[in-house]
Amino acid sequence: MKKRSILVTVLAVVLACVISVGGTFAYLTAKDDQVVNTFKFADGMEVTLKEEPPTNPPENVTVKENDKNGVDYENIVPGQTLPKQPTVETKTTVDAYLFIRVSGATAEVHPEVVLDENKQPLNGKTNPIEGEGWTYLCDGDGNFNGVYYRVVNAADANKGPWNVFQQVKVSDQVQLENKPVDGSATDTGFTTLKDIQIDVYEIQKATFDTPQDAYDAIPAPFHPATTP
Amino acid sequence: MKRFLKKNILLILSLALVFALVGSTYAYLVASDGQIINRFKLARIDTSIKEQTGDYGVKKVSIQNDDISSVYVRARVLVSAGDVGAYFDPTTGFVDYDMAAPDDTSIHVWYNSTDWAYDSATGWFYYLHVLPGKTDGSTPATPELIYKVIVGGQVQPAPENAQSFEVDVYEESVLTSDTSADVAWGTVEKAFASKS
Repeated sequence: MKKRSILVTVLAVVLACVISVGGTFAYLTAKDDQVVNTFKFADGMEVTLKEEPPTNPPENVTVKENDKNGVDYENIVPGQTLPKQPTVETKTTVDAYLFIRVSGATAEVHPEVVLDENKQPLNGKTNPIEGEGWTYLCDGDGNFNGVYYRVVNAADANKGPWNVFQQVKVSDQVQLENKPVDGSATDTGFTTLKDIQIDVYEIQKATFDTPQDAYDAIPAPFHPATTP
Repeated sequence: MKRFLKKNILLILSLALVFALVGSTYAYLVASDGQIINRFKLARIDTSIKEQTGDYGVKKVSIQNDDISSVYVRARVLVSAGDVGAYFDPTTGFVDYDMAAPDDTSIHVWYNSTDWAYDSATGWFYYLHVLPGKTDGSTPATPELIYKVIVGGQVQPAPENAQSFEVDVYEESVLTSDTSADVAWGTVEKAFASKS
């Protein structure tokens, strides 16, 4: 009986040692380095479309900023060329497509090609907007309306401002409003010049195979065929 | 509440999935800015005759610019003697405003020879400056073209006693981009000739 008690005691001590040692080993081997994956969105993009009144308008033409972020030109005569300065600038941290839409240009008043020092169209382009480095995409007509784009690389230092176009031409065929000399009914055959509008939209380049794909992802009203 | 959630959990999850999918369609990194609209207005011409009459032959006539564009101006003054018993000779009848009234029986019109040139061959008076367009604060007008009408060396009596004769003024204007202070009447004549 005494021998049995001694045996039990010895076994109990051995078991306690095994548990302690085992516990120590278990604690050491369970420790490991943590792996942390951090995901952060790009800081974003910002695009600015603006226009200042030209500093060198033709004589007698009045220019002033209007409440539509653009410029009002008044007292224009047929055949005049009017200087313009609409520009686009971006701050983007990712590669992006920068789109502009020009609308409202007509045969009576429309963007006009700028000639370089050799009297040739700027950058060899007969389209004044392409002459400023934009690439035509769609919705165009003979008056240079349409959607144009350029690719902006995040790594590039140059992010604008880029001109949209530099001047517009007023046709020499427009009819001024005259007061009839005989005091008869008001002249109704005169021309009313339409407004020229410019819109801008920028979208990430990643995930789109082509500029057209990126444009198709833009909601209305910039992309009229897209439902917002 | 728990019962409601339990009962409709499938519907709620389906709706959440739909919204998530629709949302993700436009979840690209994008930016845009306000639209720019440029407006263009052609030149407009509208001029009118401004007249001030009074006793003793006073008849002050000038031309006013009622619209935004600068113009050249010309005018004609037509006098019909009516029953006044005197005649009007367009060659000699227009006299400088600082001249004494001629002592004869004809009708004479005093006019402003400083700012207007009279072409007796055609009967036109040409304004020798650019008449600027109307602005928010002002409606420019020429200095008077004529000041007075006199008959027989005497200024006319008060209108109630006057015998009848007519003085009609007719004016035309043409757009100009000229900004000169003074203009040769030949330049103005040429501008009108190119429009007729």
